[in-house]
Amino acid sequence: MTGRITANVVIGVGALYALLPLVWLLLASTVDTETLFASDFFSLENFALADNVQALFTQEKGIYGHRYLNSVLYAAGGAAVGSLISTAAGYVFDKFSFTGKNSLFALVLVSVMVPAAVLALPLYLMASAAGVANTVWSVIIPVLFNPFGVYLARVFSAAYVPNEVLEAARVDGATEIRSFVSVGLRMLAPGYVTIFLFQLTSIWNNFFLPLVMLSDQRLYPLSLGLYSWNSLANIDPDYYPLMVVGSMFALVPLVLAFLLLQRYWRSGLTAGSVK
Amino acid sequence: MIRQRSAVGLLLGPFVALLLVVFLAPTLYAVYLSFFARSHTGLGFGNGRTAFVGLRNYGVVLTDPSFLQGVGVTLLYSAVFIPLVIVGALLLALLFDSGVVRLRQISQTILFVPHAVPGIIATVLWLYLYTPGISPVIDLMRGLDLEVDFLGLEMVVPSLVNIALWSGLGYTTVIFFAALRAVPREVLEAAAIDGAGPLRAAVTIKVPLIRGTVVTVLIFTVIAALQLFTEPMLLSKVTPLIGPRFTPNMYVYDAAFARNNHSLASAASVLLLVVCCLLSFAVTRGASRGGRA
Amino acid sequence: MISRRGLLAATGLTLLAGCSSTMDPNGPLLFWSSLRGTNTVVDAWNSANPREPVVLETVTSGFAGGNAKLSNAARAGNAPDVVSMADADLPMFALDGVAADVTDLVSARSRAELGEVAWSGATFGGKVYGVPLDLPPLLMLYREDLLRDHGVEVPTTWDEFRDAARVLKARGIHLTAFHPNGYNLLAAHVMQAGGRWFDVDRDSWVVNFTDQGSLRAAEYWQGLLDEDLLFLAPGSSQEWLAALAGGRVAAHLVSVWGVAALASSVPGGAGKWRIAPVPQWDPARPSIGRDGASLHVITAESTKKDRAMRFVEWMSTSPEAITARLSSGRSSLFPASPKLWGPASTQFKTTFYGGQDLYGLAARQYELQHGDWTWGPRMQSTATSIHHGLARIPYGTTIARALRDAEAETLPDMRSLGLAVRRS
Repeated sequence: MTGRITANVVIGVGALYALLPLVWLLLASTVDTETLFASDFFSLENFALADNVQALFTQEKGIYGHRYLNSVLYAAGGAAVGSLISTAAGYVFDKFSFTGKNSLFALVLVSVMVPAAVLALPLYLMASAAGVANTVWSVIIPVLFNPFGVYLARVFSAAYVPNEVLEAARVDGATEIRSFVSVGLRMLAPGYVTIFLFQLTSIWNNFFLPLVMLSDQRLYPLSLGLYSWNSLANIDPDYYPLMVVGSMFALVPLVLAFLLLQRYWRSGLTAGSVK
Repeated sequence: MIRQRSAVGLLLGPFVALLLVVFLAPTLYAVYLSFFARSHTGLGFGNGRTAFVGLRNYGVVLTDPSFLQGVGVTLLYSAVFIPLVIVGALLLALLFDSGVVRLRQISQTILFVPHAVPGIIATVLWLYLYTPGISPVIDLMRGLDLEVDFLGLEMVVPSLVNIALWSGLGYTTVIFFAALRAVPREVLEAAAIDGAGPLRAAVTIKVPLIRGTVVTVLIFTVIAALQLFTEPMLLSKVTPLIGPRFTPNMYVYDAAFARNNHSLASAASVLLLVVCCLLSFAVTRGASRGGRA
Repeated sequence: MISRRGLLAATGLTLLAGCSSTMDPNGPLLFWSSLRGTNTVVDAWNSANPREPVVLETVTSGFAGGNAKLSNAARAGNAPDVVSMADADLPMFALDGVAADVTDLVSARSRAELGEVAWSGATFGGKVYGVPLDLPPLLMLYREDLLRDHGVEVPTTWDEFRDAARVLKARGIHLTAFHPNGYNLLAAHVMQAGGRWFDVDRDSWVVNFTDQGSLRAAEYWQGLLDEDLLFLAPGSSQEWLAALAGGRVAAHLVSVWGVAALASSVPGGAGKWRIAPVPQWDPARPSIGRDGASLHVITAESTKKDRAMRFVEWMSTSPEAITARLSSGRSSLFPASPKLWGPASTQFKTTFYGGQDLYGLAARQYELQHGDWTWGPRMQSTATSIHHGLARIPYGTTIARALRDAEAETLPDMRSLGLAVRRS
């Protein structure tokens, strides 16, 4: 019995540890600067969420909203195209045999382990030489490459797309491309969503690549924008409430996507790591 | 067969192109850069040229006290973080698996939520919880007569570990839990018949059965620790105790963009790359051995 | 509501970014500056020279991102024609080929007018890479009322300075602050004590952050810190500004440029502050350091170097330029050209300092500056190393130790660049 209580207490403490900082962020975003410094969150007269939100979206001519759009564009665009490329590649690795397949796949596995940050400098120099540094392309093209997505897609393809169905499509005279689009991709839809979700998150969170590639403030995604505001908050405390509200808005889409699509997250995690 | 080859080309082509352009080419370019350098003679004014310098950059990196300190910080950070996250997540996963936990689904979700929080926001969030004047945590501890400077010299690494632990604990728990669920029930029942109590069963039977997963997660965690960048980079803007070359990754960034020394940055990158490749080799070996067992 | 047009507009902006007109030999001059009062200078030039227009972009100062921005732009081929720069950053940009060798473009007139000490900060290996703008000696700004109330004479030597600090400390006031993020003020003290972090010996760099002069300055200030006589806080921090405003710190050591900056940082102190020469080690052999100077650099890729040089020399030597700069009220620039001190003095309002004659006082100190100082080839990095060390003072590090560590972190950089370097 004591064991049972201890177990639940341990879990409860873990859950509080996970949750309380987020609750603080939520409360802190509703108060003005002075109250923020006084940690006095529960007096209604200091409720300033609307002011904070207005300040957030009007600061520096609405640059926050602009950066939000940038993040949406980079993350949604990058993830939609990137996951399609990964899914197609994973499908090919699963369903076709061709020369060099095994060594190519080994390379994919190796590239999963290589930290993106290691490649950032040479990528920046290459982009600079090609004249695409400090453009959207410099932060979108590199993130399309998602070897972990290919690995997941291969696992999903083996699990969800029975060879017999493809065989039947072939007998019906469908081209390989056609059977990928109409049969493979349809059956892989849940896998695609998982890969999309993982990639969306990683692009949304990406910090190193934009930091290296972008110097034009108007191209900054949220992560880089918040980073530059954070540096200013040291000098000007008025940036603190902006940071707090800005952070809250920036994580809302991710937490929502996470909660609503939890099933896909878990399937990706288990496929990726339990194997 | 020809039909198949064109399909392979079309479906795999984009990925292979990306592999070449954004992975292989930069990797090779980094290796190339690390052997060449914008090189000067004498005072260096007006005589810069690009020249082959052999291992000079590697020699410089490996004897640079700031790089070695960065390696030291990474080791210290790993030594504190890795046992905490692995043991903590194993403990939570075993508790979930034991069936005594109430509200299992929802508490797992709550534990998992911080993983969805972008690293930069997690850092800002904790940074504020570390800042005197804003932080309710510090006020609370002061109430208990505890005076802690989370951004003080001896707390820098623990504070960073805490951010990583907050983000990663639930995530790692979910992975371990899934692995435990995959253990065949008959094995556990057999153990129960042998008279093993729940605690003994957990430690002597369940943990060894998911050893493969634990090893994989361990190596991924080490690789992530080697990449430590976002969190200290952000904190370095707040406390000068965290210098711009605090971790090897920050060293690379600083060499490239503050010191404008791309060859030095490339040499440091390549060193990191080699360590990661060795570790990834260990993963693939470890995973395939785990799979066969 | 996110419209598709909005998204497309965002993308469109992106694709246009990065165009520039530096390459167009007939276009306007592009000028990047972070110096106070530059916009009024550019306005004055443009109205007097409508056929040679200058377009100003205000950028953040070098360490705050300006240096990185310039390096990136130079690499991408869209650097401006002219850039304002701290003298400490010039060796890096000269070495990296960003700053043009302008030896043959400098007119004999400005060569004579700006003086030898100023040119020494722009000249490396016999070649000129920039045109000096100012050469501001270090001064001591102090609260006249606080010193008088506590019966403290204005110190003229560093020994007197220590005694004054002890008297004030007993009354709960710090005489001055020590900024762990102020490598340049530390450098000014070292300069005054005759130290030299970097030197050039024929074809080799000579590095020594702990020579006699450096150690003398380091140990003196360490002594004050050990006695708790200094207010330890970062420069421009809220904490320090609050202490200045609240009369808990009585003096501020800074070069002439900081005179206007102080007035705008603590407006409530108007009329209470005065200006004095900085204390001396040995009044019989006086010497003065400075915490940095500014220059203008013409970039190597500029296609309008002659025009750029006319503009740059005008900024450094014309009375209209200094009058325009000081008319902003935000700048207290001390020109390297002695001919401009008269017009500057007429223009600059010193009500904050009780109407004291700033430029007259600074002119006498100017004579005591020397040219035996060279900044290193990666000064931002070196400075960050120094700051990193100084930040550990509360944890038992000393100033001398911080300097030693910074030197150890600077040498690998220089070796990796292939420079000939030795320790003296």
